[in-house]
Amino acid sequence: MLSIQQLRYRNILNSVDFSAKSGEFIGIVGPNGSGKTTLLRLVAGILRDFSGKIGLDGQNLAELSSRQVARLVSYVPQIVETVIPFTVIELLRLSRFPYRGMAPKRGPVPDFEAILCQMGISHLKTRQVATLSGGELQRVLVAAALAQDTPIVLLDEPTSHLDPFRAEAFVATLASLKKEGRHLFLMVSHNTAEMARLCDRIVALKGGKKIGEFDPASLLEPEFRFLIYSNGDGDQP
Amino acid sequence: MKFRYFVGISVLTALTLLLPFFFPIPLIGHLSEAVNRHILWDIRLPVVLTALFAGGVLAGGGLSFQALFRNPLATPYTLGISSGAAFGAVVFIVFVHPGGSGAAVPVFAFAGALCSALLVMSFAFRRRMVQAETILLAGVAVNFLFASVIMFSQYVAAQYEVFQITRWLLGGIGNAGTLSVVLTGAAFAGLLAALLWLSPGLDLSILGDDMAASRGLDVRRFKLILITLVSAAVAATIAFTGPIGFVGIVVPHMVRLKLGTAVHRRLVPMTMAAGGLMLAVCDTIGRTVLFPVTIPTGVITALIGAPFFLWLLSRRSTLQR
Repeated sequence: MLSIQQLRYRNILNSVDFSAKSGEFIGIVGPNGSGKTTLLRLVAGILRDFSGKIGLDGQNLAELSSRQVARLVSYVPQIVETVIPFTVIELLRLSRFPYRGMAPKRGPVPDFEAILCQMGISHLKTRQVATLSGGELQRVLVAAALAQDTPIVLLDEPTSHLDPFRAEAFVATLASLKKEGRHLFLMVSHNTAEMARLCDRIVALKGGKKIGEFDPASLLEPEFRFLIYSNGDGDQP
Repeated sequence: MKFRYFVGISVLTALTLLLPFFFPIPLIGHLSEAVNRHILWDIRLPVVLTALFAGGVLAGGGLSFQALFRNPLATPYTLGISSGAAFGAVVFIVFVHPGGSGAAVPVFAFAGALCSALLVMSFAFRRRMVQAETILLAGVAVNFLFASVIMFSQYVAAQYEVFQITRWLLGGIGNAGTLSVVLTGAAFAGLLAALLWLSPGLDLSILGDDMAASRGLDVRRFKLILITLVSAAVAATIAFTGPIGFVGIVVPHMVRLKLGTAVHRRLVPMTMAAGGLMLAVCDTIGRTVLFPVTIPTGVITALIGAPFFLWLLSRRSTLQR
């Protein structure tokens, strides 16, 4: 489903290789500045001047158009201070751009209601996105990614703005999505406990290089945490 | 609901087209019928039509630039197109045809406007990733560049030429004719069709480059296409009207506040219709309130529009992008 070979991007990523198949939940960990978000943006087709190869569903990303990539990969960005002046349902409709292009009514229409129900936000359907709380917004952004109907879903620190209670509920929702087995999830997070709970495998990056793949449970062990997060110049984890 | 707005806009447009039949004809009723007919069909009607089309283009340009640059202060002039046009006009008035008539000013203004747009784009689109801020700042720089050339020209120009330049910079629809109607009409129709077609891309642009790109929009190409289209339409318009301000920045906000949506397929037709109406009405007011003195349209748009917009703003707490 996803295969990454010899991936390099400017001086940020330097030789990253790994592959994953449908139904897997892959965690990407590493210290700040290790290239995690850049990796997601490359797989999402946002940054395109990379070297190496990103294979999506057997096709080479470099040879696909933006819309073709967007039919294979959806991306849930970190929550930023962007004001989104649309209602929830309007935002979900925008996720159909990969299929419709500039034509408003072309292509299949997914069951938006079912997606909202799955994310537990049916009641927010006609609300303005700008009026939502952080927890609601995060669920809406995931719903928008699901509306894009892609086999690969990328999540960038989805719980970092949530309080512990809402983060837990959100992780439970992700776990139920994982159980369906229809998507390959790639998630960047600094929360080792939720990574250990959700992920099948952990890919660790440091300084733009992949330093290894680990069992998620090892994230809870202090030696592994030091190995992953230290800069190697004597600093303390 | 959409239908109601459509009917309202149609009725208002029809009324605006009828304006020349009522104003200021009754004030000069002592003229012969032939002269009246000439004034009505050959002078008033082209002015009203040019105002309708020009206002629509300016409002449509402002709407799309505000979405593209994700900046509520963006206008069709943000990329320096108005100072480029002014530069062209000044070159003609001072250097090419000093002291003469201004018949060829639109040609030079159009050329100057295109120059400034090309200049901004050639700098901004050099790199693979084109950030909105880069384009905006390039526009600011080009604006200052042309403004300084204009100031220098005014410094060296004769008194009569300075007067001509000042009048042009005020903006107005005084010298409208068949040519201005045809060209601004073509710009209006072309921009309306293009913006309707590209409206999903405008919606995505508001989400920011990353979210737009991850939904399959080729952000760089979209920016290039949109800026080219808007610049061409605005250049064709500003060549005849001069840099009329306010319509381009405020009408889009008025329509957003009124319709309560940010979906561009709904905003585009209303904004362009409202922009046209506003300019046509302002122009008529400028020609009639102090008759026989004509107040330049550019003065009236802000004089009436600014208080009205402030009133609208005070009723809604947030300015939507």
